[in-house]
Amino acid sequence: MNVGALAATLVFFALLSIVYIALFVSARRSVVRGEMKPGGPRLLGWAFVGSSILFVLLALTAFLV
Amino acid sequence: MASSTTGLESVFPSYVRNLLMGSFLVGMLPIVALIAALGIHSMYLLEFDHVFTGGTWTGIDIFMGVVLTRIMRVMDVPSRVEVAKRLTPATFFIMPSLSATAITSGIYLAEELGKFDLHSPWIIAAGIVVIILTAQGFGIFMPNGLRIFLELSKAKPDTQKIARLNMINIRLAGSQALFQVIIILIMAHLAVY
Repeated sequence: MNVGALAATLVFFALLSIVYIALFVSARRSVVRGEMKPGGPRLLGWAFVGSSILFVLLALTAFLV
Repeated sequence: MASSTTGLESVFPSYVRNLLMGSFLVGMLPIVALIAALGIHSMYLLEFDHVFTGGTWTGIDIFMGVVLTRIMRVMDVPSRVEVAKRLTPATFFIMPSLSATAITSGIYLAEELGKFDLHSPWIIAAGIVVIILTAQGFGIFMPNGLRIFLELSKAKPDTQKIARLNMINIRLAGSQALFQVIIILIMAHLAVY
């Protein structure tokens, strides 16, 4: 197992999560204020799921080295 | 049937979902190829995946920075917004996948070839460029893409903002291309010496 690669992937995933959480909170506020339709945060959720799948696959490579 | 699964149809045109899904499926390919290369211990496939993803990443960035910027500059704002509405979902998963696979496969390749020496100035230089590219990707590219989506889902989207965010991403792609040319020069040195 390549510990360095796994750690790097986890760090990048943490950064990704921070960006998504910040945008999600902002989007939810916009929905509450009536400026945005609920589809906005929902799209963020789907984009996060897609990005997470790519990161899980990338993390898997650390176990194959 | 698929139209009722995501709940996005009320906000975004169906092509946004289709382009996003297509982007995800294409984005899976380089990572699956990397898993296959490592799974069957094929240096050939690992080298192919690294060169292919690195070259495609650089090529797309050069195209966006050199060609698309000039095209967008002569378009009016509503046309730029229409491009952004399609370009953002079409590239959303592909670009991070290409960059992540190129970097990851490059590290594995350097380790396999015995060139991953953290005291080497060439490896350190490559690492610095990778950090800059990653910071741009996570700090600017991806958040801007998501902001474009969010702006589009507003009752009254700010088209000026969408056009501006899209132009930032396209121009940034040009600067990324410059860093990628630098990293290719480093790679060429590592491959030869």
